[in-house]
Amino acid sequence: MNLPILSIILLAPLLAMALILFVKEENSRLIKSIALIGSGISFLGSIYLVLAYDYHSAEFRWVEQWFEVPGWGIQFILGVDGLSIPLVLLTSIIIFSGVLVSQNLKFRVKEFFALLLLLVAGAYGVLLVLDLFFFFLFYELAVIPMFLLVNIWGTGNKTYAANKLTLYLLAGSGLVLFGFFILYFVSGLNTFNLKDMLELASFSPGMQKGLFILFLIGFGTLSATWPFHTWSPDGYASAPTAASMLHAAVLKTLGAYGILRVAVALFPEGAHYWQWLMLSFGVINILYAALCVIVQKDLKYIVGYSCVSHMGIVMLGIGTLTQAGLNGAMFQMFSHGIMTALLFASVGYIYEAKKTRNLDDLKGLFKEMPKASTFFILAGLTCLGLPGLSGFVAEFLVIYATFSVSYVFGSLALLGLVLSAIYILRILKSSFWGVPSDKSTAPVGVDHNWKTALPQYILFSFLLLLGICPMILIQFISQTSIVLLRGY
Amino acid sequence: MWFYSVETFLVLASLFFFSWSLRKEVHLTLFHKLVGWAGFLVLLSALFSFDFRGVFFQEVYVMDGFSQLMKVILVLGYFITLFLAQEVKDVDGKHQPEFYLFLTTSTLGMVVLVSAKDLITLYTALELASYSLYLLIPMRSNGKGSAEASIKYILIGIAASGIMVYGFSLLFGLTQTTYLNEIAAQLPLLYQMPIFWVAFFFSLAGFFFKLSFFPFHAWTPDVYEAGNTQVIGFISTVSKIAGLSVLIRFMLLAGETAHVLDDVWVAIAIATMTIGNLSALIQKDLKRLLAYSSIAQAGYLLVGVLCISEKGISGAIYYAAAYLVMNLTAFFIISQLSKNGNNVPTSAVKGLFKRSPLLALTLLISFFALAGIPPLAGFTGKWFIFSAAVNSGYNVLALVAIFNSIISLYYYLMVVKDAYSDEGIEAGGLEPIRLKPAYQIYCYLSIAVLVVTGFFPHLFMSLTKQSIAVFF
Repeated sequence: MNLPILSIILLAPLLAMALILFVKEENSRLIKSIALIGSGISFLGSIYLVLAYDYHSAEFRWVEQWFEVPGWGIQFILGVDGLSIPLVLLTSIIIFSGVLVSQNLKFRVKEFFALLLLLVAGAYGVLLVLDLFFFFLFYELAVIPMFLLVNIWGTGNKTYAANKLTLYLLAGSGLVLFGFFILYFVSGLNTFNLKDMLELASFSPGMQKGLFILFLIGFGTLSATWPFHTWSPDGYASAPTAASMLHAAVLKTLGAYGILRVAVALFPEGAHYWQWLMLSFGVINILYAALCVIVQKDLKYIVGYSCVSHMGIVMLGIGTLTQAGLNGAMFQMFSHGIMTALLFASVGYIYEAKKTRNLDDLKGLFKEMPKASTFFILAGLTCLGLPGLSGFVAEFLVIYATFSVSYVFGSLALLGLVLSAIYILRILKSSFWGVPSDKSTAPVGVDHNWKTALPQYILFSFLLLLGICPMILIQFISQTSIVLLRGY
Repeated sequence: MWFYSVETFLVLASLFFFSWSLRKEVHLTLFHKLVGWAGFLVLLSALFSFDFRGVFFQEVYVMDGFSQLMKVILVLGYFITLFLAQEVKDVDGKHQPEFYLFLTTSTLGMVVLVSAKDLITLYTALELASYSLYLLIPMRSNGKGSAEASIKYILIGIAASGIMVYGFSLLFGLTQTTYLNEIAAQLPLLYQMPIFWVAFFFSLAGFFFKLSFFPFHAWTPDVYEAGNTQVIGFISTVSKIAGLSVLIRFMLLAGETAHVLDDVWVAIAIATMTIGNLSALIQKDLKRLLAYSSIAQAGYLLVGVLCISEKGISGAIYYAAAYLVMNLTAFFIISQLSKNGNNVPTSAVKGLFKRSPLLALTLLISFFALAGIPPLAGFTGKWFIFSAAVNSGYNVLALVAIFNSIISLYYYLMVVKDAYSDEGIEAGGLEPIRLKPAYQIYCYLSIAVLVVTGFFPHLFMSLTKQSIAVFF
């Protein structure tokens, strides 16, 4: 029997959400278990995908076709390939650990988990569907719940942050929407079906240049490309932990996924024409955001900006338009997702315990909360590219590819990595390993027990696994990058 | 068999309400029950007469796929309005039968309007629809400035209808006929004459007024603020859709020749959307906010219509139907929020999720649908309309429309945020709202409709495709 495995992955969180809506608010344990089961089913499904995928072929697998809108070229069609499978796995890891992280939540539990599951269903949808109408539908579905998540469960200047985040992302998606219509019109295939478009459509050079820049900026806004990145640190600083984990790890990756899936795959000439822009965006992202981190005092802003800086590596890797570069970019998408999620999870835990995120108040934290600090430190080390952890592999591949394209961009990117080492070590030295000041009024934190540490263990094990045997992931990716670069 | 058509049932319903209005004492509880059933019977008859086809009265009255589909949509709006108007708190008890009488005659006018193929029938039907509405606005007993607004409404309405009659007379002078088909047959000669386009535009003025397109939009916010919430819900949806159907008929009869005036259509669409959305940003009263939002929504509808393509028109019909549900639901929420039918400021939605979770969810869904957020019907409709615009080559227009809908997100989202955030709730402002079981069912139904038709648009699109097949 053929199970519709992709539909199961997509529907599990939606069904869980629908169930949660009918549970009474007081019954919060039941709500949490439903959320855990829903995300767990998707997790199992995506592990099955990873194990069963034959990475020698780059075709779309498990294609399911449900219905179509006659005359409009809209079909509900699902399918995955080597580009989407790792990201599906990433999404399911993050949502599973995100739900685990939120087990202590007490405030408006029902709505929180409903929105979180809606968000993740949107993310799955974007990765699984092969039709531009539903791609866009799920894309916005993933963006909108964040507005309420920040507004209700957020901290600090949350209304401002939520508005900024939502309006930026929707403005970006407006460009994408316009691009999709043009794509439908110019391709002449009368279909929004991406699979058909990838196989059949060809575009004139002028059109490729125009459309490529449209999608680069539209999707780039979501992946926090400079100068459209400012929503990101504000948004993440205000968002609740699980939401910022998901958003930073998965939604930003969706932006990069969109660039690869639509822009790079369909417009080779456009990509060549705008290569310099992608490289510059990448390098500026890395350097500018790294410099921003150095002056931050708030742990969440630090993570937010370092996340922007790391998305620069993805953009740089895509911009090289070489196989090594694309491999690196996709590797980075995965590794960055896990790493950022781990960072946000640790910061969230520390904030819960200490009620402060200010570096000065956290001096000497390592002695007080050794386990919680260790997770942050491990994620930080991935961030600065320590060999043996996954960050190193990604950064190595991208920098290597960049040097093969241009020495200038390569050296600048390398400088960015030095900067990231500086800011991470500075935080560790001055605050985690620092001497506590007498003025600090923060309460004494309670360290992890095995339950609260579980999501962090899950996340870290993936960082370590991929750092030691990167081939697990690369074998998925490299076949895809060959296909993506077919037209180059 | 023709006896069972929706027109007959509307006449019967208005006679029924008329007989009630003659009574000295009105037993309101019984009456309200009967109102709901009367509306339901009319809706059934509309569904029953969906397949009716024919031409009547020397070809001035036609029942084709298009008119019958639009009638179903209009009568659905009428039914929802009656159903939700079971608790009209701000109309005097003894005037209530008249209230429903005029709603019914107005709907009758609109139903005739979508079938009319002759200028005189068109005009009569439009006036029947409009005059009933003019009377409904001042009926509100506690509306501040309702006299001012109703006079404004009547004056602008009559001016628009005067311009329209002038346009009709020019058309007649040019073609010596009042039949739309015969006018359309003479188009190849006519469209080279500038005077024909003057006549064409003047003829549409009355419908522009109904749809509150740009030069005729100024009455909207004041009237919406002054009128009874249920009536305004009716005016903002049913009456707009009636205007839209006539506009579609005119445009389709003009066919390709209407493209001569593309610049004008595009300018009107852009102005309508932009003015509506920008003005809505600063509104403090929920009804005024929805007034400006409805101006903008009409602009989106025009984007679909001006393509004059199969895609554009069917997209516009889909969007109109979706708009009917989401806007009526939005007005339903306003009527539930206000205790005695008074207007409510936007801050009144604060903490709604505590007062009534179901109502808050309904508000979220209907406002998100208005904002065009997937997977709701409002999003799918916008997708259809904008993609039709790009398909017909209106790239700039589509881009402007997309960015307009992003601007509009701001004010819709702020209302939703207020409903779900628990900050700034005034003490004592948190008494729970209890919905009647019937209204709870309505909430669930409207949520289901907006989600299901949004995600599975093919269910409805095949209907519209059939219905406009007459034209293409």
